[in-house]
Amino acid sequence: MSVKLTIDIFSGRPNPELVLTASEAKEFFSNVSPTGTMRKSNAKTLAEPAHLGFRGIQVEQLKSATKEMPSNFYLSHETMYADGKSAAMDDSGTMERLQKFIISKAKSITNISNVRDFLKIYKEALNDSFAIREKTAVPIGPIVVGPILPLITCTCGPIYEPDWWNLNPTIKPNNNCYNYACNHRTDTFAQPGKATGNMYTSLSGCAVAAGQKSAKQGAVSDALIDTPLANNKCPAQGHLVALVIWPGADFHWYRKGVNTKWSHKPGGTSVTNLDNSGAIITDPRTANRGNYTQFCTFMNVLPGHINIK
Amino acid sequence: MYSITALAFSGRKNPSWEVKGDQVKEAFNFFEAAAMCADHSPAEMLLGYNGLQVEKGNKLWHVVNGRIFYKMDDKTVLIKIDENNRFEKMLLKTAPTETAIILNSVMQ
Repeated sequence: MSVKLTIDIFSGRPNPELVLTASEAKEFFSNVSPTGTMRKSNAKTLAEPAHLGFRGIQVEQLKSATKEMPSNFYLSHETMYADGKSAAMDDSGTMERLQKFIISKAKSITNISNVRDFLKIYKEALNDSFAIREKTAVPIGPIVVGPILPLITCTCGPIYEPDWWNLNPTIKPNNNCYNYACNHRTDTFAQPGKATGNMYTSLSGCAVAAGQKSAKQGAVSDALIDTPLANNKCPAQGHLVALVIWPGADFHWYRKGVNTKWSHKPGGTSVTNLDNSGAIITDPRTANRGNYTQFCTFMNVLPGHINIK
Repeated sequence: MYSITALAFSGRKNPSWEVKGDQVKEAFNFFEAAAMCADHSPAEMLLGYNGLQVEKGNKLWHVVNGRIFYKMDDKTVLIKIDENNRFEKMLLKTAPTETAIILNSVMQ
C-alpha cells in the first residue's frame, strides 16, 4: 500500500505532495478514524474550505487500496470528505496529530523549494487556518440539481498579492493596469496591441472610427479573448479582466482574482482592490471608476497564450 | 531643469515636460511662503488625476487636493497648504498646449 498526501495550501503554485511507504501509510491511517460511517452531506454539513491558505489534506491511495478507507478523500478541520459524503473525526486532535506526522516527514515532501522555508510557511498557515475557517465556513446549503459547490471561487483566477507589485521599486512604476490585469510583468508599461504590431491608435471610446484601432482591438491582437457576455462570471480557463475607457484620454483594466473580487493597478501606482469610493470591487461595471466612464467589455486571459509589451 | 509629470493616466504613460528654473520661480516663491499643513495623512491615490509632480535631482514636490508634499530621497520632509490651488495652477501654466488641453478637461 502506498499513499499520496497533497497538502492543500497554495493557490497559484502546485501543492506540496508526500508519498508514503506502506509502513508510513499504516501509521498515517492509525490517526484517521471517522465517527461511524460516512454520511451523505446535507444542508447543514460544512462545505469543504475554499479560502486562501492551508485548507486540508487530500489523501489518495495509490496501490492496494484498503477497503477500510475511501480510496480518495479529503481531511479538513476534523472532517473527512469523500464522494459527496462526510464524517466527523472521532476526536478533536486528529488534524493536529496529522500535522505533526507530516512535519516529521518534511524532507520527503515534493513541490517545495526547500524544507525550511516550506515548514515556516506551513506552520504559519496552519496557525491562521483555524481562525480563517471559523470566519469562512458555511454550510453546503440546500441540495440542488448539479454538483455541490463549496464556496464560490474563480479557480483559475490570480491570487491577490499586492505586495509583489507594490514593494519592488522596479516593478511598481514600470508596470501598469494592463500588466497587472494580464498578471504579466514586462517592466515596459505595456500597451494593448504593441507586442503584436497592432497598438491602439485611438482612445476616443470603446468603439473607434473606421480606420482607427481601439484598445480592445489591440488587446485581441495580443491574444486576449473578447467575452462581452461574460457577465462577471469566471471563465473555465484563465481569468477574467475588464476594459474601461476614459474617453479621449486613457484606458484602464481590472482583473478578477481567485477570491472572486476585482483588483487593479492605476498606472505606476499601487495595486488596490478598492474603487474610487473606497469600496471593494465586486463588479467593475458598477464600481466608481472616476473619469473612466465607458465600460467596454470583459475579456479572458489565458496565461502563456497572451503576448504583451 | 525641472521635470513636471501630471499623475493622470493608468494605461498610457503620464504626460511629462521639462521647464527651466525661471519658469517655475513664481511657483516656488509661493511654496516657500506657504503655510505648513496640519494634515499629515498621505495623499490618496485614486483612479484618474492625482495631481502634479515636480522633480529636480533628489527633490520632489507633489501637489494634489490643496496640499504640497515636499520629498527628499523619496521621503516626505514637509507638507504645505496650496491655497486656492495656486501652486498647481502655476505649474499647469507651463504645460505644453496639448497636455494643458487634456489636463484642463480633467481638472474640470
